[in-house]
Amino acid sequence: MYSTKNPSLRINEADLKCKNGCGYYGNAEWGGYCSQCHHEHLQRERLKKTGSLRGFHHGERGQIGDKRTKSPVGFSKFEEKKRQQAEKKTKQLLKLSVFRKSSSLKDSNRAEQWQELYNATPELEKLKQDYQDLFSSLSQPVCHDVRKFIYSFNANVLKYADLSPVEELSEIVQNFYQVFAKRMEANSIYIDLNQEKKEMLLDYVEKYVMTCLYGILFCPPSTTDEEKDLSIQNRIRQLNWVNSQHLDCRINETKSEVCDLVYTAITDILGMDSAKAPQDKLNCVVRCCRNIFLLLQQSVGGPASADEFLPALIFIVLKANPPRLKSNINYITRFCNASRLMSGEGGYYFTNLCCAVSFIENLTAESLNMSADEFEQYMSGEMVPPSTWESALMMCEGMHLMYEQLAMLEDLHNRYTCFGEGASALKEEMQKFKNDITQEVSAVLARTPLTIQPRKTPTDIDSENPTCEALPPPIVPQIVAPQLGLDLDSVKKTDLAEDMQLDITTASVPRDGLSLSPSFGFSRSLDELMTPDDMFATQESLSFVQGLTSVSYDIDLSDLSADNSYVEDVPAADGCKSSVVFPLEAKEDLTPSLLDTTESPTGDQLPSPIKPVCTGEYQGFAAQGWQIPSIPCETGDTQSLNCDTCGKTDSAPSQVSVERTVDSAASVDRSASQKQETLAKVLSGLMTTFDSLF
Amino acid sequence: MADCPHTIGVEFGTRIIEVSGQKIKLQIWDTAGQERFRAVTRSYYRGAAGALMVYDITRRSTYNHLSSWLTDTRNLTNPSTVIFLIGNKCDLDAQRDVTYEEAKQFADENGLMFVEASAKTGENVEEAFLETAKKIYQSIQDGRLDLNAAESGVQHKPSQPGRNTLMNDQQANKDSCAC
Repeated sequence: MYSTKNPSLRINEADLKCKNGCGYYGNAEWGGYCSQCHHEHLQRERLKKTGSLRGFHHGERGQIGDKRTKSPVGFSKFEEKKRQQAEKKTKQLLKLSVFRKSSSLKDSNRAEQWQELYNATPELEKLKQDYQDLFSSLSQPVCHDVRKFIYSFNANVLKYADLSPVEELSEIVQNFYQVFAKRMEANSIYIDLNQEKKEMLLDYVEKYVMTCLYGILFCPPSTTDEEKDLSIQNRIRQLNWVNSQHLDCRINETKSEVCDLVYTAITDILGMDSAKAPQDKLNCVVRCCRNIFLLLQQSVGGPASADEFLPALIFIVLKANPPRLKSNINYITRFCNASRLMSGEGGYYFTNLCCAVSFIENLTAESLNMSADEFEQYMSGEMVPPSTWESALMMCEGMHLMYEQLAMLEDLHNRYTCFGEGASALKEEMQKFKNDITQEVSAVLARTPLTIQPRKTPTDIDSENPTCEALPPPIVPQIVAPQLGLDLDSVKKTDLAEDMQLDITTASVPRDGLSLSPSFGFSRSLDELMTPDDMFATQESLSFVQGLTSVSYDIDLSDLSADNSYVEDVPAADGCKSSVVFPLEAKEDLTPSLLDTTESPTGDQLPSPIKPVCTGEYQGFAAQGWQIPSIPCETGDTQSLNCDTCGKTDSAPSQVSVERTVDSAASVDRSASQKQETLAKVLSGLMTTFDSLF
Repeated sequence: MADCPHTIGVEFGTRIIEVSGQKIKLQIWDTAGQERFRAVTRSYYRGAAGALMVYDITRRSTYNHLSSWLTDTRNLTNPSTVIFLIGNKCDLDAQRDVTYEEAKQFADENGLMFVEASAKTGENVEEAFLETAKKIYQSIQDGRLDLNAAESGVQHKPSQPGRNTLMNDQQANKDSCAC
């Protein structure tokens, strides 16, 4: 006889036989009957129910029932119990029917149920969308037929939902699957579909119907599924302390990748409860198991066999403690297409899951390889095994953190070495640079002393020279210059004009011969310079130039004259413009050339023109150049020698800077050689003053 | 077996072989072989058309457990289920712990087919499955296995004539905890 007591390790053959004693093997799912007896038992139960509802009337079915009563003695007791249960049920039903009273009310109730069925619209809509491709490829009659079939399917199940035990409903549903499969084979409207599409269609029907009927068929009140759920949940809670070592499963909990996969597997199996269609639930199991195989591959380092897989699955189930585990398993067993559970990945994994659950239910000290005492202590919570899952988790967290920080450290180390290399490179470079610089400096030092010393000596010479001491005045006109503001430019321009003429003048000097006027170098520009001051200034500057001076000196004067306008007009008027561009440099450039000219034989004759002008006017002149009445201004310029201009220039006093006048005055009196000498001296003096200035 | 990938062929756990011109799709399920799982692995037997019981010739303990596994298998399967006894690791002849003769005698006494094979070298592995399939096919031909019974573990697919799906339970009888 089939025994329902706690399974021991050894099962006697007798324990496995059908309760009915027919000689076939029984099954726990069928209450210990073989399939044949179970079926008959169900029918009998149904008969009894209908009989008690409608009053006992004897028909064919009744006879079958009578036949059954001839069952062995041992069974009658059980049957009695069942009958009592059935009667209780019918009483309840009767009670219920009191409220329903009329059939119309019942109908409305049915309508409500229909309403409820299609309330699961979001899921159904999603399902329809998922199968959109399939239906778009199907012909109209096929779609229509499928819809019709689903409708009749739902209606049929609903009809029996209240009255029939869940096993019977399961049978009805399984029958429907088969009928639909056969219909697809037989009916001509499905003839165009290939095998794949037919399977998809069957899949769709199953999913659709089950999603609709989920509320009614999942964990129906007529079963003890809920109690079983609670008991296994408590059981798993009690077994909280079981770890992978106890199960002999080789899960490397401390490896972070493995740990992640464990989490994923747990999530997958937990997801089973939220799916509605049996296939979807099955898919959750499949995903979970695939992850377990993956993590075993990581832990074991090769493909895993069932020897490793089953313990790992048990471990995952223990740690996940999935809600309504039993209900879900029963739901899948009852309402998933049976052929699916008999083959393929889903079937295999689901079978393993059933094994895992039954292992957990029947778990003993022996199955964990420990003594009964130890087991009891763990179960009662007196002892906690050293390495629990939680501590493994904590350790894993620590490892996670450690790995992260190690990575960070590695990065820092890399950066540090990089930085160190950079620093040493920089240091080397600096050292090299330093060496280079010191070398260069020493080289320069080796070169320089020679040049420095001789340059310094001239100053001494100058200081000893009394004439040089008289030189300081050159600064004076420079001070004045800034006051002149506006005219400065114009003056410079005129200067430039003169400078440009300079070569010509020097060239023309021999022609001038005796002429004293400094303005000899003037070309047409001179004509155009209308103001006497300007004229004078130009003359002055020229004379200086010849006397070898640098340019800046002449500036002071012209501005203060009344006719500023003239001055401004002039440069605008003519070719002087061109000279405007390069005022100062030109002058500076000229000085050396002047030096040369002075030394040249022609230069000897030059000083004379200056002499009368400067000396005569010097005393009275000072700052106010215009009060000085006249200068003998005959220039040596042959091209444009005008009386007018001469007259004008006369009126404008020379505004020669002091030192020049002095120099020139001195030079006039002396002989040519003397002049040269003094000129050289003056020059050198000037040089030194310039040197000291800069 | 431990070094075989758990998936054989394209479809999960299936292998198509040909027996006397008929294509037969074998579906092979591996079961946990530890002694402590023996009591709970009953659901594996459901609908099995054949069973391969494997022991390790280098470990006598695995051989000793055979009788209890055999009892289970007999109890939980159809009487016509083909049971094949396989002595694994025949490549390790030097470490042999169970003689061929002893095992052969056990097989004969219990009406089992017997062969020694090696999963490592692949010796006799293919043959074992092929022989099992042949035996099952014979059973079908003899009418001992009903194609239409749901419990027989054999399906005849009308759409693809000549293809049978068989369910084979392949048992790993290599319990490491055995003593």
